[in-house]
This record gives sequence, C-alpha cells and structure tokens, in this order.
Amino acid sequence: MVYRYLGLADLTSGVIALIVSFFAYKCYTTVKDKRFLLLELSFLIMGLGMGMRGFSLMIASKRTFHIVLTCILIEAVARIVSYMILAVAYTMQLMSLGMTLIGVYPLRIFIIDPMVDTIAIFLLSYVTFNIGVTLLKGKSRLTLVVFIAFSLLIFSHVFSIIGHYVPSLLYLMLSYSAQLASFILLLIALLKVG
Amino acid sequence: MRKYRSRVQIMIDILKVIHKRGKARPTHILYGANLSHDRLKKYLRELEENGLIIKEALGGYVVYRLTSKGLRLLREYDKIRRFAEAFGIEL
Repeated sequence: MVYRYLGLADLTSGVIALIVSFFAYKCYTTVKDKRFLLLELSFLIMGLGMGMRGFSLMIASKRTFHIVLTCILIEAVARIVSYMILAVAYTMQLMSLGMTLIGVYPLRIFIIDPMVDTIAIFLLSYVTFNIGVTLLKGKSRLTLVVFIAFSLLIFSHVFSIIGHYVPSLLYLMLSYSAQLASFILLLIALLKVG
Repeated sequence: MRKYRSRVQIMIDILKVIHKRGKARPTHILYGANLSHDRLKKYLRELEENGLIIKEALGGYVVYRLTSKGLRLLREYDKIRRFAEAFGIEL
C-alpha cells in the first residue's frame, strides 16, 4: 500500500515535470534562449526518472525487486544530472548578469542514497538561492510559488536523508509528499502562466 | 543601476511598435523602440530573416509589417515572460 502511494506520488510528480519541460521547450523554440533549453532538458530527465521509479514502485513485488532497484538507481542518477543542468542554467544567468560566479565543479556521482541526497541538496540550494535573488528583486508571486516549490524539493531530500538513519516509514512518506507538493506548486505556477 | 534590455526584449519592443502601427516605417520603429540606426538595421534584418516581419514598399517608403509568425510570437511572449519570471530567469 505504501509503495503504491509512493509510486503514485512519483508518477504524478514525473508527469508535472514533463509538462514543465514541454513548456520550457516551447519557450526555447520561440525565443531561442539556451536557459530554457537547459530547463527543458533538466525537467525532462527529472520527469522520466521519476516516472520510471513511480511505475516500478506501482508494480513492486518480490518478482520485480530487481526492476525496482534499477529504476531507483536510474532515478537517482537522473535527478543529480537534472539538478546539475539546472545549476548550469542559473550559472549562465549569473554570468550574463556579470555577477560573481559560484563555481559548479563536476561532481562524481555516488549511487548511495544519502550521498545522492546531499549532492541534490547542494545543487538545489544553489538553484533556490538564485530564484530567491530574483524573488527579492522582482517580488513576483509566481516566483514565490516556484521558490517554495524548490524549497520543498530540498526538504524532500532532507527527509530522505533522515529516513535513511531513522528507521521509520514516516520520513520516506514525508520525503515523497514534499516532492509531490513541490511539483503540484510548479503545476500551479504553470497554470497561472497560462 | 541602469538595466539594459536583452536582445529578446529589444526584438519584442520592435514587434510591438510595428503591431501598434500596423505598418511602420524605420523612423517610427527607431523612435518607438529607442534604438540607434545601426542597431535598428541589425535587428530588422534578423527579424526579417526569422520570418517575423516583412518589408514592403508603400508610396515610395519602406515599411515593415508583422507576419503571422511575428504576431504569434508577440502573443506568446507574455506567457514566456511570466514563465521565465516564475523560474527566476531574466529575459
């Protein structure tokens, strides 16, 4: 039952990520700004990863154990790659604005969950910080919604780390719920955009 | 600090001027979009090459009008701007 919920949360988040990706792609084809292309690529990889993990969790059983494990692995790698692409997109923005560049060094990807989460928190904090700067400058409600969405995504990884050390399903549920809430907020932002 | 317009923003400003007037002469665009003559020429050429505007001769003058692609871009730009704003991307 728990796996079904987690799978459904992942699938929903994945579909929303794909919608964001599609919208970013449309923006890219219209204005040819590479940052939109990176946003599209990032959410596409994230969405596909979550979709695969979600589907595998939905069909989770003893017989599909290896499939689930593989999908979890793929999702972990996909997530880090997508966050790195996001970080690059926001770094491009800082460079174009002539601001101090915070270095994004190539990271070795570890397929161990707390490490993946730690890297994810670092990259997401960087992205969220950049969105926060824009929020302070523009004070737009839409930016606030996306800022909260990315902050929730950070919390999702924090809960995931806690869940690794505290043997309770609660943190796993909290992690997936925070992720789902984050993508629902992104969907709301998209709907407000039109 | 003075905020400079991005390339996209300048192009949108040009399209807006042309849209507002229906058919616009380079001088009108120059003043409306607040550009120098050289930059205007460069942007008009780029917009024309991308099929967003079309050059016509009208009563001995050169005028520009929007193509359907240009009009569509102008309409979609507001959504794009809002999407970019939401994600903290400055156009």
